[in-house]
Amino acid sequence: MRRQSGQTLIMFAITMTFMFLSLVALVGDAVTLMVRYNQVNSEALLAAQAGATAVDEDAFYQGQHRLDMNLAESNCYGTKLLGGTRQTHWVESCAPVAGAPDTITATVRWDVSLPIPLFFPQATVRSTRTGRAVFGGQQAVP
Amino acid sequence: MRQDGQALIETAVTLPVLIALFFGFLGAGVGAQAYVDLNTAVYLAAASSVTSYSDEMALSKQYAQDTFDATVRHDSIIQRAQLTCSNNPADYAAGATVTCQGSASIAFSQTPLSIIFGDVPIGASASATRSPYRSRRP
Repeated sequence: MRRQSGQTLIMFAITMTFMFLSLVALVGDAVTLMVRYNQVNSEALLAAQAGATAVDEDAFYQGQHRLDMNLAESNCYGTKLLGGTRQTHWVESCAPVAGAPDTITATVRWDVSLPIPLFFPQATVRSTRTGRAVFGGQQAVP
Repeated sequence: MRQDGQALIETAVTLPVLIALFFGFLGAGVGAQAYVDLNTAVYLAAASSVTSYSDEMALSKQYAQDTFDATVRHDSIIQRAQLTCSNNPADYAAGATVTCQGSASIAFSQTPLSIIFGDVPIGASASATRSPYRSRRP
């Protein structure tokens, strides 16, 4: 029978190495994703707020509260983003909310390259936020 | 075969690794929290800046600075925090976009984590759009 002394030690060493590496990857990647999500969330809020500044003036003077959607989407898509590239970090969508013409929803997406790509090289973080126009009153002031 | 002291040696070898791992994870968490705080402070500063009167660069910057200072001061590990907003007066007109950039250091040197980490510089940026109907100072 072949000698088996030390076999458990080798198995243990291999298993523990893999477990430690996995733990480091998990923590490193989770922290990166948490930070990136926070940034994407802030950008989505600012994009929605930028879109919500585009009040439709003609409609307003006719007593309707709604956004000029073309301008709102243009403002929303024009939000400046920090980090990544245009291919990996972008305003994914700016769209009106059904039944609420004074409201716009922005979604920002970032395909994040993970710092320790043990299991996955990349993960996507995405945040959707909604902004509503402020009219300051119920009637247009002449 | 003599095994006296074997456990002691194994502990002596593995303990530093485990401690380093523990402090490393702790540092990563603290660093991430500091970055999130800085990013939030810059975002709030930019959003605050566009609520001032239009065409008032100094006042807008003051709004941003006050908001930024009040936000980052709650996190003692963030040191040397600085905020810079656009210097172009046109960015403060009604309907224009203001960009603010924040920078700071994560002061690991003031914590027990200094055995592993030095101070780490971090930065964040945010842009906000002023309402085209924002009035000028009366």
